[in-house]
Amino acid sequence: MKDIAYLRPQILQEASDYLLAYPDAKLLAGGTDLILSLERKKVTPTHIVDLSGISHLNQVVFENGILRLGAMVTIQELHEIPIVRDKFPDIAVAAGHLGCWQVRNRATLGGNLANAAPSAEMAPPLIAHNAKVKLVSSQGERMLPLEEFFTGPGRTIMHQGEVLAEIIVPEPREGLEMRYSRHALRRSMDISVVNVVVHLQLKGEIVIDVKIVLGAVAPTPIRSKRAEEILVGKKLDNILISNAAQAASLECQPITDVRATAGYRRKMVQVLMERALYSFFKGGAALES
Amino acid sequence: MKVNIKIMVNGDPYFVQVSPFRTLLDVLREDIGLTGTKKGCGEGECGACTVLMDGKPVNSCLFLAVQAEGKEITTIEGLAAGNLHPVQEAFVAKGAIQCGYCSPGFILTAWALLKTNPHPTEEEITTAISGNICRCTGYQKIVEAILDAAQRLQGGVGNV
Repeated sequence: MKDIAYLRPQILQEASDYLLAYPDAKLLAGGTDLILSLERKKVTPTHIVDLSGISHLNQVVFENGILRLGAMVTIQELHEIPIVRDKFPDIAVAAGHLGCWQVRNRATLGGNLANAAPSAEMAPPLIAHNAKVKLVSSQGERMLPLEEFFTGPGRTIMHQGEVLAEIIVPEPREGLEMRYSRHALRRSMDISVVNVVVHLQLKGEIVIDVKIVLGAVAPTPIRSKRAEEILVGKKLDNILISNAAQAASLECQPITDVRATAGYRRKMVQVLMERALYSFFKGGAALES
Repeated sequence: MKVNIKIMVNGDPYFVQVSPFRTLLDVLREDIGLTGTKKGCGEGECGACTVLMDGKPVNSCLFLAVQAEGKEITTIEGLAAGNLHPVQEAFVAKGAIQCGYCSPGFILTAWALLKTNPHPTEEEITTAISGNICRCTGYQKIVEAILDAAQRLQGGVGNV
C-alpha cells in the first residue's frame, strides 16, 4: 500500500478544509467499511481524515421532542440507548441487525448513511421518522431531509468538502406505530435482501397516517408512495393490505445480485409488507408475526 | 508518513511508530509481539482477531492502530493474571476448544458479554457470539462453556 498521510482534525471546519485541499482524502469514522476498501485497494486515498478527534460528533441529545444523533454515534449505542429503544424502537431494532457485536461497536451512524449502500440498515427507519441530516463545511452548513440525501449506490448529495455531522429525528406523534422487518439469508453478519419499515396510525379501523420505506430494492432507499396512497384514509382490511403490498412490490426497482434475484426481492417486499400490515390489523384473524 | 502513538494494551503503555493504514491486529502481533490475537479472514467476518476496546469487543483487523490512541485494549494475554481466567477454565472444562484458533476471540467476546450481562440466556449468548466463527463446529460446547463461565464468575460451580 502506498504512503497515506493521517490527519486528525479537532473541529469540523478543519475536516472540511482538508477535504477541499486534498480531493483524494477519505474520511475515517468507525473504519469498518473504509479499512476493507483500503485492504482490497478499492480506494487509494492520499490522506485519511480521522473524525474521532471532533468530540461533539459522538453525542446523543434528546430535548424538546427532538433526537440529535452525532454522526460518530456507534450502531451499538443506537441499539442500546434507552431513549432510542423507548421512543424510536424501529431504529434500535434496525441497529441490532447490522453486522455483529464487534462491527456495531465500531460502525457509526454517519458512516452507514454516508457510504450510501442501497441496503444501508439505518436509512429506512430514519427516513420513515422524517430525519434530517446536517451537512457542515468550511463555507457553512445546511440541513436537508434524509430522504433527499441518497442519489445512487454509494452516492449522496454531499458536495466536496461537506461532512455529515448530525442526524436530527423528531419524536413520533402519539399513537404512531412502527414496524421494522428485514429478510436476509442469515440471521447475523449478512446484508439485507429486503428491508421494510412501516409507520402507521389507525383511528378505529381507518388508516389516518402511513409511511412506507423500502431498503435494498432500489439504487437508494425509497418511499413506496403508491402503497401509502392506497392505504391512507381507508379501512385496514385484507383486500387493502393485499393491494398495498402488491403496489410496493411493483413500485420498487430491485436488481439481481449474489444475494437474491430481482424477482425474489419483489416477492419478499410483498411478503414483508403483508406481515407488517397484518400486525396492525387487530380485528382480523390473520395476525402474523 | 508514520505516526507516533501510545497504546494501552493490557494495562501497559506501548509507544509505537505506525503507518496510518496499519491495523491494530498487525501492530499487536508484529510490533508488540502479542500473538494471542489471531488473524483469520482479515475482513471482519470471523472474529478471530477480537480484542476488547474499553471493554467492548471489536475486530482488530477493521481497526487502524492510530484509532487505538487513548483507548484501553485488552487481548487474550491480558485476561488471566497468573492462573487461567474463569472463562478460560470453563472453555477447557466443557471441551469448547478444538483447534483453538478461534478461542481467544470467543473468550474475549464471552467475557465482554458476562461483564454486562452476568446471567445471559442461550439466545443472548448466540446473539453475542454471532460475529465469531468456529470452523471445528463447536458452537454447542462454546455456548455451554459460556453458561458455565457465568456460574463460575458468580462463585458457583467448580466441578473441575
